[in-house]
Amino acid sequence: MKIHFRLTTWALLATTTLPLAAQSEGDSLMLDDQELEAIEVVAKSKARKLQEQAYAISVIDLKNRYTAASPLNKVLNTVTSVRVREDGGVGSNYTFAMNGFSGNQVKFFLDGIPMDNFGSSFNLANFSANIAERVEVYKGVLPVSLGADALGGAVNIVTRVNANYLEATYSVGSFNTHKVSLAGAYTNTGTGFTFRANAFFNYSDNDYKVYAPIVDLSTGRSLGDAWVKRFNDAYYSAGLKMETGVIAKPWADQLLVGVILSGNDKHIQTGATMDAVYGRVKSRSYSLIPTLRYKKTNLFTPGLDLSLYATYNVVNTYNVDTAAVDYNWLGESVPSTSRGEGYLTDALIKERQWQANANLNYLIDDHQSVTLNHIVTSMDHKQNDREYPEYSMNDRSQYLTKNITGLGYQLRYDRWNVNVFGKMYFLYSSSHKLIDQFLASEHWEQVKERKHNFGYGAAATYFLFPFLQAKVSFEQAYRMPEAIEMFGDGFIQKSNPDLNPENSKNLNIGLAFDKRFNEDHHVMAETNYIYRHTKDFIFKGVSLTSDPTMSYDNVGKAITHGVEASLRYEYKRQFHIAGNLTYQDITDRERTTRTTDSYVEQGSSENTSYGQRMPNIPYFFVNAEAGYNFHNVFARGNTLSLEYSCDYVYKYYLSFAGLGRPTSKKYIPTQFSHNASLSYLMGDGKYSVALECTNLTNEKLYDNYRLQKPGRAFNVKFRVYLPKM
Amino acid sequence: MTHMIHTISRKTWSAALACLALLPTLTACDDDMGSTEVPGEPYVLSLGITSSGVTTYYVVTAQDLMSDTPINAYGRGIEQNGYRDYQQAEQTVFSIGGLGVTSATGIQRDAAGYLQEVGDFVFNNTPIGFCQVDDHTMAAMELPTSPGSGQNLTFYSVDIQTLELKSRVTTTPVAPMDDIEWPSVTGMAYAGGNLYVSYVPMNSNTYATPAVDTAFVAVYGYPDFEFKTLIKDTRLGNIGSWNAFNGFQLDENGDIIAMSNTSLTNGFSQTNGKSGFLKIRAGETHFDEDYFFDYEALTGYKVAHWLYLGNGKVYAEVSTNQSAGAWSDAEDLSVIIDLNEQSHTVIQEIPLHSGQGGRRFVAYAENGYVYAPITTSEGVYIYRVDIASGTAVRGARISATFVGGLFRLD
Repeated sequence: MKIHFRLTTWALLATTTLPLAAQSEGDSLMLDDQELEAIEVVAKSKARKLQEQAYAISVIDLKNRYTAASPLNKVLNTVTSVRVREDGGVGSNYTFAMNGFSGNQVKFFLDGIPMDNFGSSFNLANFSANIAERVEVYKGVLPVSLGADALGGAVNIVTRVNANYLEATYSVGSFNTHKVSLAGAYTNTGTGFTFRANAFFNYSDNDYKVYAPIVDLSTGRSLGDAWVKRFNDAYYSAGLKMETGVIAKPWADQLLVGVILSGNDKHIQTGATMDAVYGRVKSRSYSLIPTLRYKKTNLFTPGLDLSLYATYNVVNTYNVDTAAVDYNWLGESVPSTSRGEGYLTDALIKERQWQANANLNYLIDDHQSVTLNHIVTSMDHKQNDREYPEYSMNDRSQYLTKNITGLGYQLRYDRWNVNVFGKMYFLYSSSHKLIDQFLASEHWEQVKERKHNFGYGAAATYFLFPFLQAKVSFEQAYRMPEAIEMFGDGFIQKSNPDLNPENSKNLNIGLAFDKRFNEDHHVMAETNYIYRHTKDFIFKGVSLTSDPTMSYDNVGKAITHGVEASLRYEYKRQFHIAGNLTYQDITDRERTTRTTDSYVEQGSSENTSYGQRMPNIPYFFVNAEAGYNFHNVFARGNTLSLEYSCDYVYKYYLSFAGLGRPTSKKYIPTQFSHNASLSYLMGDGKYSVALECTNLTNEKLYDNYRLQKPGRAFNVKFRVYLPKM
Repeated sequence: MTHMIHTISRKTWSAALACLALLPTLTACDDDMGSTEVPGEPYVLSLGITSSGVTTYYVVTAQDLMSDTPINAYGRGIEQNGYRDYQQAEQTVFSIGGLGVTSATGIQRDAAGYLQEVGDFVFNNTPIGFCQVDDHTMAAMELPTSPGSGQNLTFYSVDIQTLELKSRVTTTPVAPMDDIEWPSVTGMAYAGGNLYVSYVPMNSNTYATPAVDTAFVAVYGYPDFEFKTLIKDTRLGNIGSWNAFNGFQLDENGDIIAMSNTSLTNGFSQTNGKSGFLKIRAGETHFDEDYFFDYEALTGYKVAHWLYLGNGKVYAEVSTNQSAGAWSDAEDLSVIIDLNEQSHTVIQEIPLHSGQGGRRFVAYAENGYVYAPITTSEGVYIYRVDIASGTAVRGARISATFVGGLFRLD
């Protein structure tokens, strides 16, 4: 008992590094429930502890969300500064944007493992919130233990590791949407054997109505907009994540092997805007990902903790667009003289990636600790397009290896805590390149590139009062180029060995308030100021002439000033109301534009948008929610919950606001949408049924221009949860 | 102590609330600056503005191309997205392009003197040929992007004023334009009842150009769009260059002047060391045997982009250095060429520069002058060239990355 308790204390001290935070849960498995509760009272909630870290972090505690049917990517939308921008319904493409960063600039982790190359079938939109214990959103500054080249932020999904439970959910809703999930964990505390599994299946016709531009196929004339049903947007995905191994052995706190299997199949209805409508374009993706995880606290000597993981990602993606047909939004079609509704392709893209990480943490004394982290990822990318059999890059591999080493030092006292860290980024890439193209000496040659960069940062917190904490953090962050960006396609698209990483100086200053009044009233508030100085964005060369030989290039410079604030009030376990808002002023700070690789090669021209707000990024948005629980309704232990949430996004332009005749400009209008749900929990939460309505007022919603999202939709979700097997 | 904490917390609390309440008001105004447009300005320019990898076009008007006041898009100009090509026919400027689809939008002047978009015609693919056939009609041609994607051409005829589709023909095969390699169409012109289409045989994977020694022009009937014949000439080489729409110009008699480029800086993988001009008389199905001008033999330069001005005069940008880089369109000089005299004058006032950036050549001629935007190390400027003397004066500065079109709508 004493040893157990000490272990936990060690772990609590170390919780500022994340893998260890997850690890302390593994430790607590050895304690029985009562002891666990006792410790948690002292130790505050895990979410709270994480939030008290020096990093700018938002934690979504998902324990209360298991009755809702929301997929994880939607849940993330409730975090300040975060927008998840979707192209459409279930399974549609989405981008995650945080403080103006998006795409490769923001990295995702599953239990600390980078998941950006897990394939499209295993992504946030496919997970129901059930899979996760909590989601951690890091803004601007990343802890050393999350070793990745993220430019502006990271999201870490921490899965549930309850020792013994079984859960099944099924939800059915509008547009023939069905979602099934099964999750369970079994742990034998005697032998230490554990087995955990999650399975999901999602299907949707996505045949929601959109207000779309109709073209008369016989005359080519635009007939104006009309309400039509989407007809080529069906989607299904299925996945299984299993892990088994032992816990609480003298030689390992945790040794787990696992596998992720997933697949999806989607029909593609539109191109970049709804002007393009497709009837037969499809995409499929399959992932197979074996994983290995190991953790040991007090390795050799007390205070030395080691955690390791390794994964191998096998992802195959098929894209098919071969039909010689033209569709309009009415679902009518005519034969076309060209095959391919968008871009003629029948491609298989194969990606194989090794990924391994080691994290070593040493507690020097009660106040100091050091963390050493190393991550290596090695990607092999190749593709084969059957429609272009003569294309000589078919089945030629491009390799990209990244090594990132981080070293951090932490000093921690009662009221304050300081982290300083440095990160070394090494990149090695290799591809084939056509040398002396068009000449007699034309040949393929292997080209290699090595790069390194040094990033650094610091984070500090100070409790002004027990309920009021001040935080400041800073990082010089980098995102290394990907293989395609560095080498182009190694063929027609030029390589750019001089390509630099995108880089950003990220500063966060914040105040967090958390206080209970008379035990019954709990108020939490937080406000942050954000500064980002970002430059050398990696873009494909500006194609003024559609010159096919364009390379990727570093362009642009932007400065972000942002404020975000959140406020939450809870009354007992009965009522809560919460809201948050984000305002981010992101301006173009590049004085001249360089347009290398275009016909305008000489010199540079003035950047007419200097000083203007960067377009196509939402800059003011507000979320709010409220909920009321009626306890002991109909029967003792049963709870009826009523939840409401709303989402407000202020109008933003798709191009620089100051340019052009105002009435000719394209923009996304101000949007205000509402969601509501009613759920009934029975048997102390063992059984529940929830009725949810999204987009209650049937607004026309868009994240990306003219790609309309679903209107009002209903779904009902049934859940069974058995905490002990 | 407890009391103090309470006080402070209450203050913090109300401060936080105040912040929350105030923030929305800070943002409750639009960023646009209102309209700064002036009606009736005769010149129409499409300004291409590229920032962070995205190009947006603004079709603005200007009163004077030689003014000290920069021509810009602040609060003015019709915004157009995607890649665009601009071409004028009568009092309509066609803007062809878009995001995800290719449509033709007409730009006309309304009764109040402002530019307005009219009609919207959606193509299946990007039209690779687009030319005026009479006062009321444009003809357009689409080509499948690669041999695997299709074997037939699509021809359209579209009303200039209303953008209504008049006809569509999908039965004409690409053959025999694909005899050697898939054709890269470089020009289309209507003359004497025929549509003439120039092309460069170009491998659609490697962009190699295996047959530069011959000028290829396919001839189609109008309005049936049926293939008539393929005409060839080996005095120069391929007509036009990749995606530059620079193969043909019509002269004052309605005859076709054809330009051969075969420049390593304009997308050719090899050159035959010739560049210059040939002619096809309207309605004929062979090159005019009496006319031939090897401009490269005269000057050592290759014609890249050109505008026929009348009286045998041409304003052109010519490539001066074949080693300037593949596809670079770099190190061009502006010249006046006399097709009759077979001579040229280098316009000394215009510095060595790269091509203009738009795919169609941007230059506008009136009253003995040519106006053309040139990208210099100091920015983009309009130059006014005196056709008779071959001298130029620098005019208005253009606040844009490049100019996509320069026209006059009255």
